[in-house]
Amino acid sequence: MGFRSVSRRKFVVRSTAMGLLVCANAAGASEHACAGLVDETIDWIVPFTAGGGFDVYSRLLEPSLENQIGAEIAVRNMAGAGGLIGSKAIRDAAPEGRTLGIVNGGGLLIARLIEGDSVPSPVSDYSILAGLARQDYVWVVSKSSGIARIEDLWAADRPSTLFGIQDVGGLSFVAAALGAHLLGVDIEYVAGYRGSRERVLALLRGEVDVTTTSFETVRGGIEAGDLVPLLQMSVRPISEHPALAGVPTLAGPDGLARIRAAALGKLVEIAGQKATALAQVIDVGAIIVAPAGLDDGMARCLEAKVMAAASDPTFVAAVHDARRSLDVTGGAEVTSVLGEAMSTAEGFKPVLEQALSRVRS
Amino acid sequence: MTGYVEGMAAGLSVLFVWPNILYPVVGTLAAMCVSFLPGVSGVTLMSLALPLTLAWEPLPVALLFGALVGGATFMGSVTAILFNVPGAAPNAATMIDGHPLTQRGLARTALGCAATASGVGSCIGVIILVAILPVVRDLLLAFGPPEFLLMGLWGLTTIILTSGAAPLKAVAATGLGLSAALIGLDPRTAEQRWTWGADYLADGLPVIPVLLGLFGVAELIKLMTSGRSSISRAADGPRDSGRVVDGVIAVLQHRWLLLRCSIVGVLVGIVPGIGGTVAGFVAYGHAVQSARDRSQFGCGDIRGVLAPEAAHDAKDGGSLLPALAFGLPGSEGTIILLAALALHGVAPGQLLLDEHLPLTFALIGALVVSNCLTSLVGLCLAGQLARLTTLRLEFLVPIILALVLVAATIHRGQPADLWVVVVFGLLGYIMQRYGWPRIPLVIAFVLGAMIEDNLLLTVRLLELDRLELFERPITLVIASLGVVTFGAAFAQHRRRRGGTEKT
Repeated sequence: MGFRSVSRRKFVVRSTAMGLLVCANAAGASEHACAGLVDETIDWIVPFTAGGGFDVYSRLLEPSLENQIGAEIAVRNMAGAGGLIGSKAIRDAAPEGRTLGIVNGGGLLIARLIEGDSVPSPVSDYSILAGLARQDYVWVVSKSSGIARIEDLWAADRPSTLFGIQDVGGLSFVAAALGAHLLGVDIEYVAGYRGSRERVLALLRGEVDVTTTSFETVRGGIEAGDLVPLLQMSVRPISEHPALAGVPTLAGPDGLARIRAAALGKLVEIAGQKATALAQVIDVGAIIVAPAGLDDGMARCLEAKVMAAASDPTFVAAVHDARRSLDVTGGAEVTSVLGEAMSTAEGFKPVLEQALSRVRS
Repeated sequence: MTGYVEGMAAGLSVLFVWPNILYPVVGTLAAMCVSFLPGVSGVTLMSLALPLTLAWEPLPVALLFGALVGGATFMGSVTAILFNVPGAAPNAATMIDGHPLTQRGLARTALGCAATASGVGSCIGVIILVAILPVVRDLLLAFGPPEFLLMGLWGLTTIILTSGAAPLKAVAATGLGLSAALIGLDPRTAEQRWTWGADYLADGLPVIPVLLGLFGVAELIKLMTSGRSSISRAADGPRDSGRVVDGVIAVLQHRWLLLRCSIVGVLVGIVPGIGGTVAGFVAYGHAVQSARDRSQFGCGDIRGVLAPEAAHDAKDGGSLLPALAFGLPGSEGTIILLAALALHGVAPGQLLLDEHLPLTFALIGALVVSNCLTSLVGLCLAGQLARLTTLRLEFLVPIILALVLVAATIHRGQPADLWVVVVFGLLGYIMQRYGWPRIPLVIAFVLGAMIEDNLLLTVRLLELDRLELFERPITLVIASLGVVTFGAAFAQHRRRRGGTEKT
């Protein structure tokens, strides 16, 4: 659910209703389990720097969450190692409800796929309390590139497509490598751009042909007419924004992965499953977590409180005004989606290893 | 162009009315108090202010955060000049000549120069910002990996100029600095280099603890073992700390240098993510390169204070350019500024320039007010601040040491930063003790990541035929500057050798 072409009122109503629905399902949670947190201080760890997206969500949520739990929320930025330092700090904290945080679920999953067990598992190393926002990734090109549609990338006379990425191991690399594999696009990587906005500038300068990043990052450029979206890395349309009308999705029953598999004589169902798993991994963005091992009653109570805070109309309106997406989902649902995505994602390893060796050679 | 003039008039008219003017004034004074503590800058205040201003209207937010971006950077220079402890990384270049001036009993002069250069530099930076605002997008797109690479290499050539009579030691120190900059993840392959598997080192060595150790702690060790009673040679009162007005006059005397360094600051500020640290060192290098008499640089040359101060305050104007035009933060402060604006429904980018022009100019105006007010207050306080250097060391050293250690950890909240301070503190003392220059190490360390990133990108893009170096005018200009700088340094070295042989 996006907000970009949805009026503020509709956004607030929809988000609040969705959140309350999930809260109602968790109504059985024992209030007593959280009573011990009243008047206490809860450390809220943000594994990224102040001012970034995750920090903004945290600071917007802080007042609502303090109202719900009755505790003081102390937001702490623990940036470093791409979010790993803060993520590990949450994982290693005592599971008493006094340490919570916000992590990048999809990012952790991908990092674990590439780097192994040194990276926390978003499923087994945390108690997931809620999903807060999706990562709506798109492939974009510059308007002056001459590429108008995704189909242009596999035109017969086209040389390799240059894909701008940050580094291997990041979401931009995985979205590029696996997306290109599923669509049968021949790509060369240009790695080393620090940050999504640097990659966008590289597009505008003509250094690279395509890059992938969150829709929020490039929304301004698309609206200004500098950038053109080619592909939505999702199962269903990520937004009702008019710029995305007619832009195909990678996964889903009408997804491009299936259509291309059929055209290339590959197994359509397998391609569809892989595309769905990839979209689900990318989709899981900001999730609110506590260390694993939390008492069941405490976990249910905290989940209900977090969901109620995330559904607070004041918070929802603030997120809308900040032009950020919001997709409040229950912890159980997020855990289930991530678990499913993790098992399918194991099948990505051969493709990723091949792409890795190309970049590192 | 008419639209910009009208927008500017509208923006400034809302800035200078009651109670709007209160926001930048209060913000500036708060930032000054906070920024005086090493390692704590206006950025810290901005992150604290972010949640507190959620219910505000966009205009007060822009005015307050515009003032905080200005960030009272001069206050960080105060500790750099007085105690050889940079308040923030951008203040490191000011230390090179600022602290030697203090040791010679000219603390007030140094502070007066820094305050004046800071204020004037920021005004020049904003004038340039406003002048090129209509063409900012084209300008930003003209800077790519080759330009950033050459800018970094040009900054490295300043090492040659400041190496004095020990070029081989400078080369070795440069190598050490570049090696230190390589620690962390490879920017292209994400392979770990010299991290020994520690997450702490994945992003490389942290800049502020390195600087605090290399200069702050090293200086404290030196003071403790020097037998001196105070930092200033002249321990007998304010008259012996020089005159503030001498520092102001020095800025007027070197006005063309001030202008050039301000331009350098704006240009470096345009580069997203580079920030004031690089601006300061590149400007310092230019000051050395353009000087006829370089003998006093590193020993208390007033131009060595003027140049970086002008540059890193002018940089604020430059760093607003990518932020406003593309939503690309040019510094840590602009990251939070963009977040604050977005929280209030004001998205950066061309739409900001098209639809919120008065707000944009009000923000820029707040930045100017902040820098001018900081300079004014700084000039008034310079005398009193300089007295701190006459305090007895047995009182001062523990306080400074405590501030340094707090500053080291407060920036990232990681206790391991203390070890970096200690290790580099010992290294800095040993280097100082045995006559090894530290400036080349610092310059190479600060510029190393920028050089590596853009070297890899440039080589890759050349391989893929996506670049034509000789069709990029800015590349050619920067390359020429680098050649001139290197040639001047080589000629200087030969003259020095010729003079030595004759004697």
